[in-house]
Amino acid sequence: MKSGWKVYWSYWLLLLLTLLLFINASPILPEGWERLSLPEVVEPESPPQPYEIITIRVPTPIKQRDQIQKQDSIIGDTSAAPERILLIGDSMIEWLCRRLASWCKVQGYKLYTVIWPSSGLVWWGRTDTLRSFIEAYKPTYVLVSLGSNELLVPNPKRFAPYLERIIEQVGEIPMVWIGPPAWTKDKGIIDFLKRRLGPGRYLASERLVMERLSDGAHPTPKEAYRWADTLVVYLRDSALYPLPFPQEPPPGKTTTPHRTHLLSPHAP
Amino acid sequence: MHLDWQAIWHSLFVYEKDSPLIFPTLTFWVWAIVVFAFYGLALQFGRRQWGLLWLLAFSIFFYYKSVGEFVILFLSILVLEYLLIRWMKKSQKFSRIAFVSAIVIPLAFLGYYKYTLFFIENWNFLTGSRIEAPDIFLPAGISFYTFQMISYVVDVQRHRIPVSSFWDYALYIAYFPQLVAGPIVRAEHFLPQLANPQIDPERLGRGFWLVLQGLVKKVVFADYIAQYNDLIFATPQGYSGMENLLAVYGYALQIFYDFSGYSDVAIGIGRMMGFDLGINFSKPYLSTSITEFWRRWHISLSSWLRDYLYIPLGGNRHGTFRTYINLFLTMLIGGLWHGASWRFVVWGGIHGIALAIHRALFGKHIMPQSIGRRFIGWFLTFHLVSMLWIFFRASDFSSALAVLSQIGTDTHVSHLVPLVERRSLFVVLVLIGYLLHAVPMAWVERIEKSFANSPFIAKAIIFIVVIQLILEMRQTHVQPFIYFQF
Repeated sequence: MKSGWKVYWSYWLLLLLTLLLFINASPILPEGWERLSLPEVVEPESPPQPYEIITIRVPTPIKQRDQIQKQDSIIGDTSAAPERILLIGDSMIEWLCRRLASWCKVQGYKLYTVIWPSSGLVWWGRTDTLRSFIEAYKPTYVLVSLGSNELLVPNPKRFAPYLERIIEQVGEIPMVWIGPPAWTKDKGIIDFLKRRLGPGRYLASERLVMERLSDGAHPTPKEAYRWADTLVVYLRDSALYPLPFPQEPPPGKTTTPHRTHLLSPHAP
Repeated sequence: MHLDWQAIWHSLFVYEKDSPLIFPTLTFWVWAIVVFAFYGLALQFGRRQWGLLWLLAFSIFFYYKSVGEFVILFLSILVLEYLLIRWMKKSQKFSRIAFVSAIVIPLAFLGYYKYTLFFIENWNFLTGSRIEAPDIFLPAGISFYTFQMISYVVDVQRHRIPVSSFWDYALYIAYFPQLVAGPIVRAEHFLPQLANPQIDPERLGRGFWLVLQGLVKKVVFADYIAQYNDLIFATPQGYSGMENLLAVYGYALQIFYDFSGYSDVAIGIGRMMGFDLGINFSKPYLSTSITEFWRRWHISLSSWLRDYLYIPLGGNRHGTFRTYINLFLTMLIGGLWHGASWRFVVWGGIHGIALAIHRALFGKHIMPQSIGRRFIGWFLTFHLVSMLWIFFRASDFSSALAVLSQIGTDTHVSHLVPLVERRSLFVVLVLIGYLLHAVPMAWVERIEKSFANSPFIAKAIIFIVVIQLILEMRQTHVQPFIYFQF
């Protein structure tokens, strides 16, 4: 029994030391090791800012942009603000669209959102879903957020026909592709999209570091709002076809888009 | 680090509805260190009664942290039951009344808290009346401690155990590791151990190993797998048959790892305190028949149902047909015990029918003899059990039927590869989970023993690595144990 007690206390000590180690022993813990969290008081060093905007600037050939704008009478006149924006994508845009709607509301734009969970280039490229929404809403600007569900698929060239089909359906309407907010290293899809779409038409979302929901993939609402803010700055300052947006963040954090369609996550 | 002491105090001492004191939380382990310290000191210095009282006090506090003011209801039933049992033993004249009261009273409370809404809903549906359902909170663990109380009363009445002291009785019912989700411990097994808790190195080591194993099962496997399953079961019509099928396999594993994980931690803590709480699972998905499955799954419940329901109903003593009816009724009531819903009734009823059919076809031979038959038996049993979990998991009947419909009409092998590509970690975890489940018991015993006999430093390294793994894999919020709702 005596040795039993020695072992009993050794386990107790092990529990205690491990608890202390994981609660607060950052100098001992290797980098990246998590700690258990006790409620901590965070005192802000400066007055809290309502939003933090991170700007990603993708080099835009200004000369080329100006030339295209002059040639194209429909989209060239940026002083006449586009009124109808169609945002399509997978489940990643669920929170992004609410924040973007808030920006659009300030500017007087109508935002139409089509969320097709689990969708990717194949689903949209294989069907006429996009064309039918374009015909229904006659958008003056199209935003596409696809690729998250293809991050881990090797040989992305296989998606080329589907990407071409999507671009073809968008036609002459100005478009920006919102790159997938990658939660893991992709297998080539991002580079493939960037190369095909070219500068000014691709927002490199993968460069944003975001907190994720418990599934480890979708950004938390707060991070999705930050992502939307980044998108707005990109559309305003760096897109091939700029969209006027105000410098100041909108007063409300989020609002609902003018119209939202949530499609059944079925493969077509 | 500037700590919010008020929040720490609150999380340690005050009841919060959404934060019960469950095993995979920091708060529980802070308390565990305190409990083990005082309990160990009391026992080591020959103050066993103080140690047991301390366990009882903490168990009541543990229950308060899970259900708030409903701890008063629990204590009231506890005291009332004990008084009735004493009365039953003392009074020859009123023994029968006391016995019946001691059975009916906890069942009445269980009935009120668990089945009132179900009853009103069905009454309204059948009669067209509009009785407004009251807002009733189901206290965690009420189904478990009701069964333990009943078994104690019956065992005393059958003279299988003497009436113990109130403190021993209270600790038997309230002992915190098994209070809210089992295992349902028998008094004749537990109470004698209170006289001499066995603190020996091997039992401690094996207990500690079980605790680690249970936490990994819950946090690493069950909670991760739950994410995909939740998605599919929320809108089964939105997913292909293959996705639904994978969610069914996933849920079969999730519920096993969730519940057996809880049982492992409970049994492990019990062992470390010198008590044996028995076993609750014995590789149920290796069963080659439905009868064998119920001897391996939730063993403490199925043996309780056998001893306190099936046998009193007549068991197999009144002919073949009555045996089938008794099997069916036992499982039907067992299903209803799990939850106040027709889904659970259907789940239990089909299990009852399957048991009766198996009995009719194979008599008392629970395991087929030849390898081929054993494989067929295993395949059929596993799929029957997995498919019946759909009724257990789905939010309502239409969802359950939608899952079955999708599996039946929209399952294509070609969907498998993209599904595996997109949900690779989920698929890998499910595969590993089933492979681990198939590890022979002899190996498990050997691993437990090796851990118990390993040097302190090896245990420390294993422990720290496991904790880190748990922290890496855990979700933002710890999912409550599935069996907490029962």
